[in-house]
Amino acid sequence: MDAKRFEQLLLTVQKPGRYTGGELNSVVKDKNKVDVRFAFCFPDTYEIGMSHLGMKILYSQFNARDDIWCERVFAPWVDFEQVMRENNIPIYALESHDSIDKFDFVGFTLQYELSYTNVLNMLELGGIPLKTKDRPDWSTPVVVAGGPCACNPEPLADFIDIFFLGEGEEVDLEVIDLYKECRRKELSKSEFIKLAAKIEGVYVPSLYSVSYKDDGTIASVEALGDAPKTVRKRIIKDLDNVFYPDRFIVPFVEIVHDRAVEEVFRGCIRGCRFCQAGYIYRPVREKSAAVANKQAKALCDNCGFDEVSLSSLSTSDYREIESLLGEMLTWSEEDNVSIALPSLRIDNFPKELLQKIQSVRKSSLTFAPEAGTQRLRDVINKNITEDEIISTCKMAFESGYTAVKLYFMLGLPTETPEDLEGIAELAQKVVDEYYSNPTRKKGKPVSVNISVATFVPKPFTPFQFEPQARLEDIPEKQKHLLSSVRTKKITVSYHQSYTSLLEGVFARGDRRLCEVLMKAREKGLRLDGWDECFDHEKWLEAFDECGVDTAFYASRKREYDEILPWDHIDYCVSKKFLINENMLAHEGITTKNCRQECNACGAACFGEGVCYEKR
Amino acid sequence: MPAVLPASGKEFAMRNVRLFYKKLGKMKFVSHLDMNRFIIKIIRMSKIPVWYSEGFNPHPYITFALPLSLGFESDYDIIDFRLDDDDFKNEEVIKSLSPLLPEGIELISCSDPIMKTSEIAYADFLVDFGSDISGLKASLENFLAEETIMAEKKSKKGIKTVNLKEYLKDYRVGDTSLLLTLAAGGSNNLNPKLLLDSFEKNSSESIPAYSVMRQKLYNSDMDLFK
Repeated sequence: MDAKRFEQLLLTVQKPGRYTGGELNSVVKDKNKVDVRFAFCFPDTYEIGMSHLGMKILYSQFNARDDIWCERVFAPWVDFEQVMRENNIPIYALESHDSIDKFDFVGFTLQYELSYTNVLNMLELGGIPLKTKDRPDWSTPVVVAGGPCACNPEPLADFIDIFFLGEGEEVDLEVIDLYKECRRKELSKSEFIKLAAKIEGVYVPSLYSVSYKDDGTIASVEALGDAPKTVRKRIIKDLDNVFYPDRFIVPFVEIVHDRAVEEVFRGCIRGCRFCQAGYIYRPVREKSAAVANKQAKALCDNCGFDEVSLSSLSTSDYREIESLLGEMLTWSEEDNVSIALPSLRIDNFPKELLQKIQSVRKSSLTFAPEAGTQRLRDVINKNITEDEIISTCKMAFESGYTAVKLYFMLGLPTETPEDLEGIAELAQKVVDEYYSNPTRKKGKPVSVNISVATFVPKPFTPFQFEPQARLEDIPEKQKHLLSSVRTKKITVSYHQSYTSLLEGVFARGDRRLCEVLMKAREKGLRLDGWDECFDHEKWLEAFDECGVDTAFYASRKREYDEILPWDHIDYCVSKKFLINENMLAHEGITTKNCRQECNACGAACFGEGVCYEKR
Repeated sequence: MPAVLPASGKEFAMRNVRLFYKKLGKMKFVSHLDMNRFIIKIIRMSKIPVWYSEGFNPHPYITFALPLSLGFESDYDIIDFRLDDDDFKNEEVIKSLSPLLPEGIELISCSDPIMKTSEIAYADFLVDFGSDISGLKASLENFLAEETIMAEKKSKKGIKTVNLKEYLKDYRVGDTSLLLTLAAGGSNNLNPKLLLDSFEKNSSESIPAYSVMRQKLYNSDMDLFK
């Protein structure tokens, strides 16, 4: 299409700056001088994808090599998708504007289940056959995927040639090197894929055959040929020496998180039983404060950011947090850079340090107690007590905060009506605490916002065996919670429950869901994470027409001895450990965190990290 | 005379500078607000001694002389900002910023402001059709020569029917392009697209695809804005 016509079309859509490329620090190479072209696809919009740290890391790391050119691809918003379809514009990579079917690799990062239809839609928009079996030779790209959802890759098994399990910095490049070698030796695509399956951290779904029992559960999973029986994830052992970008792409349009991100550790010591991230990223490995400080400064210098966020699953568990902040404050104040600490527990944090880093716009404080009673918090192993919440609120109110956000989940295992009432009671205690503070600003009311999500059981957590609350039971629970709230100072907001069901089905799904995804794609479904695009009716139809019962996947209790669709995937958290944790949950017994005591989950097999710290 | 800010106790001098640049190619898809955010980042990266606004959320203080519509290029776009170091030369501003700019932003010069941005009264717009429009020439000329061109125009106060002719200072119809001098600035202004849309509405002819480049800016005496 000629450039002028293309520009004209771009001017008809919202935020065209998302589709042009050419941002500062984006990498343009001569395509004739590279051996491997990699289209890194984020299956959601530009603003979401451009905020994602994993993509920034791998983009820079791949492009640091002269023989690889990695480019970015995002899902178009609905208006531009329509323009693309009407004008036969294939989906293209932002750097070269070449259609993605011209690439050696098309790689997707799977961050959430609701993006699966976007994966299919993007392949379709690129003119790439959706199924692996329809891409037998080198005339089509190798389609790969990674990210947290790859821990249960089965719902996408028909579409993805190669899954990368765990952290990608090493395994991705090993596969790219193997690809180069195979092309040089003129091997076939299927020979390459079979060889790739021998690399640790590589899962090739087409090399496994799954059979089912009459009741629909899995009878067996057979590895074909010499494919490994189980595939273990990869981790990076030394975070100080692994590649970390010294610059991010500086986007023109506003993105969700427009700031420097410095990752301070991977994994989490806490072991909250509902949290998948807390298990699949084990073991905890920290970056040293000196390295983190240097990297954070480089990012700010090179990209002009005015904020740097210290990122991890629970930044207050970073052992060097005080020395890191001390070092960062030596330059951040002068450079007008503010430091953001998401998920910080401020109750045992030095007050002077807190005051220094606190952004002046102190408006809202956020807690995630997740459950309303101590009993249920013990079940889910969320080690935060009511006293801690109230004492932190006290501190915060004294220093001028007037708003508190509390996050909870509905439908947790063993939940009773008392637990729901407990949510309202806890919020009420926060309100009371505010009014018991004599120094509060008169005439300024407190606002406590309760945000309630529906609990979705995930693979590789102790709750992977649990039934998800039935869709029809959710409104009753919501009503009960609402009726327990007695003041307008407390507001309650919800998450859409049908999307939670969809999330739950695909999170613990098996390969039979591939057909449902195909059907959903035929019906034009995509961008399911966006309320304005989500189409409940069409999803019901898709399941119906495929004869798939969502209850089988979402609201069925799994026995401990059932073969789960991801049992041949090894995230080094043993099933035995998860079963034991599940039993403890039902007894309401908590488990100590990794720094207090080793619970022999299995992550020690890597020989690194918190498992080997002195206790 | 240097003032002393009580908060910092630092000796405080500042001067305004005016940066002239071109915004071309892909950069036309970057909206005014996005451009503002982006330029602030570039200025921060360059480490030039820019003046930061005081207050809760200090940020470099920059002003665009005349916001540019999404989709338009400009070969005479202007940003004003303040430096808090008198010794930092205009040439150094150019030298510090140049290596950081993406394709499509080209610096022209940096100088001390001469006029106030509120003096901007007119702007030239080059409407480029990229193909021969001699068939349209006569009817375009007739249209632009009419005494009144009534059209609905959006303003902050709502939609009003106005005479566009009052905003049309001058025009020249070429073989492949059209040069319009239109009212520009805070109080009176006209987007060339509105004028062309209105031509299409009033005539049986349709206009081929075009691109717009905003060129020189002038004060009310038609002196070049500096």
